[in-house]
Amino acid sequence: MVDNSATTVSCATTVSCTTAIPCTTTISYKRRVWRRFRTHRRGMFGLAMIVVLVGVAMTAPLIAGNVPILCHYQGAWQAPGVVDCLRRFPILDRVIPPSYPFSKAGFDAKEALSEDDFSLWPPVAYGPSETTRVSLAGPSKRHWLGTDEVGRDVFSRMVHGTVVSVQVGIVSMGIAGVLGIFFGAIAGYFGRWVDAVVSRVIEIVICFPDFFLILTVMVWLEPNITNVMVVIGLTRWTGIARYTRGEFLRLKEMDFVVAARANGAGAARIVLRHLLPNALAPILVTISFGVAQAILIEAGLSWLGFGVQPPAPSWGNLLRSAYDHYRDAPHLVYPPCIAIFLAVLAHNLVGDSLRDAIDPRVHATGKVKV
Amino acid sequence: MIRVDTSIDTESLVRACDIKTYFTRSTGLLRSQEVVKAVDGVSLDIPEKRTVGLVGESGCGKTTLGRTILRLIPATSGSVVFDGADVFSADRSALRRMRRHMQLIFQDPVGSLNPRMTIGAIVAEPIVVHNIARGREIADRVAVLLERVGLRGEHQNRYPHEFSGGQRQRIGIARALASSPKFIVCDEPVSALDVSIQSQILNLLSDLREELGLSYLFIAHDLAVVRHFCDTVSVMYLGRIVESAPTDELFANPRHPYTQALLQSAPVPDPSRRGGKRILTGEVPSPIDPPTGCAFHPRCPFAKPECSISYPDLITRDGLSERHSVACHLADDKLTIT
Ligand SMILES: Nc1ncnc2c1ncn2[C@@H]1O[C@H](COP(=O)(O)OP(=O)(O)O)[C@@H](O)[C@H]1O
Ligand code: SF4
Ligand SMILES: [Mg+2]
Repeated sequence: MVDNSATTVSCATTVSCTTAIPCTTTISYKRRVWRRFRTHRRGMFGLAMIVVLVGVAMTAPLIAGNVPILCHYQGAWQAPGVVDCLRRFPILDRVIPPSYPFSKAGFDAKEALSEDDFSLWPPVAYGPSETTRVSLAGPSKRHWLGTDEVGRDVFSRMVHGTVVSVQVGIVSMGIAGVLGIFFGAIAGYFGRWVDAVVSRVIEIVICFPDFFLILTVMVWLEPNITNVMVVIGLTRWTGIARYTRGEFLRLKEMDFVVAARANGAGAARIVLRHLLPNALAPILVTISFGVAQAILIEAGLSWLGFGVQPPAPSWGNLLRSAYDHYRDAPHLVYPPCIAIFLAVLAHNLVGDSLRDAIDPRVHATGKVKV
Repeated sequence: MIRVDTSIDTESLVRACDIKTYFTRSTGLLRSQEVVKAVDGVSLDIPEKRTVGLVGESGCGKTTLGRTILRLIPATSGSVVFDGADVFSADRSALRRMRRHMQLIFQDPVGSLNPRMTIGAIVAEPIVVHNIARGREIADRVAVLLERVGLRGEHQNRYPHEFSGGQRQRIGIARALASSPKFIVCDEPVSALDVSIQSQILNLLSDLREELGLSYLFIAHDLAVVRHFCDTVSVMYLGRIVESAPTDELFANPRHPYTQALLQSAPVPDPSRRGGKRILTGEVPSPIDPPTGCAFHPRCPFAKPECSISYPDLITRDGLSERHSVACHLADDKLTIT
């Protein structure tokens, strides 16, 4: 390529620029990765599924619930479904008051609202814990996926179970990500005894088969979703730490880091401006595989009864109860199985494609074990 | 060891004395320690506003020496005095102040620029780190720097991958200039570039040297590049300097068999010698277990028994100028490879 730098920057590798007008469009690393990611069909499929999962989790009460989304009740407009939906988020639950009387225990909105009152109901008008008289029914127009042993709507329970899986994925990998990046970063950056100590700790943690470690810990703790998330986060950070460490070790030898040191840049600047931004994309790959693992672990724990406690719905305990009634209602097994399978698959596909998009030279050869 | 004195006409800006940089690697099941003597006793003087060339085959320790001088790699022993101050014993804040005035230009135009930072941020880094300017003034300075190296000031918010190799090298030069240094280690700045671009970059470096009164340690792996660019040249072989002389003298009268071999194998713009003979046969020995005595003896056509026993000192010789020193037992015999 001819170095005609005195006149214009040659844009041969990217967009073509007309000579006179200074070209202002520029493509950042993120945009380039995204462009390559978009060409991966499986990755895009996985991403679409994740978007759907997160969307369902965020709007669960609007998809299935026993209060109307919007209604005209006793001369006033109310949106109890929307309020319920919003109040599930932190902070918002303090700001937004519950919609009286729909939030009252035992209040039956279906009874209370008369024919004349306007009401917009969720597509499935059953709450996840609302019982009906029909138990172990097959799929019908009313109960799309049938009902369970105590007559609860399975579709509604599946929708609300999504919340658990998404929460577990985000919170546990959030904890694991912070721990993993922190310990991996200090080990990789400082090396020497810091690296030795962190590496030994990682070796000790990965010595234990993690599912059984988590199981053992859960025996001592009160089995609830918070504990499940924290315990998964505290045990699954090692993969991220090892990966971060490796990336830091590789990156800190690179010339641009040497240049920063030659300039007198301090540790904070080198880590935050040079190492971390370059390591983040590959770390994200391990995190997306980690989310898949976390979803699987949560389902396993709930299935064994150490996770989310009934009657709260989660895919794991839905599968458990379906399994217990397999003879009477075999169709109940499929929804949680398929949901778990798809959620895990989606994250693995995204992780694979993301890895390819980050480094197009390396082709997918088996998953990164985390 | 006798220090090579190249600082007759000007004061020396950088004075490196008997630098040794050893790397230890643990290998194998038993974790036995191997010592790589990458730099093994090098002394170097870089006078103010002068360019010292450092030439040698790849792996002989040039990069390690350059970075050791800048205290980017810890030295095993030796000392460096930069602008009157000891570099190796400087404390954190003194070192930081020193770093403002000594800079580095890299061989690899890809790896030397952070792919996640814009050109503006890359060139601004020394300005920010040394708190030379603030706010708007930073962008103005960066624009001036970019224009000085032949790029356009408005390209600040672009990313490195949008530039060609030669342009990236210019960005690296702009970064090195940003803190107004006095001394720059140029580590093979043109080796990775197309021949057509090499001379442009060399011209730029040469203009900057005149304009800003810079001193360079100019590292190269072939002599041709060094010939028109350096005031003095030191030839390095396996961690040591084997010959050092003013450029013209070195090219006219090379005394070390290794220098002669390098000169003859280099493509020279002389039609009768074009193509270059391959005199240097055999592998470069490993710096882990270097040959005893003169490290060049396994490849030297004149090797005598004593060559494998004792190491020849780097000293001036009869009949050569005061600034020409050679580390060869037979340097006085005026042997020449033909
Ligand atoms: N960090 C390191 N650890 C171990 N050995 C190294 C390291 N850096 C360089 N070396 C070794 O030191 C020798 C000199 O390397 P280098 O200075 O890069 O040579 P040059 O720049 O002349 O090609 C080589 O044998 C190389 O393998
Ligand atoms: S000392 Fe001996 S082996 Fe070394 S270069 Fe001179 S003649 Fe050759
Ligand atoms: Mg080198």
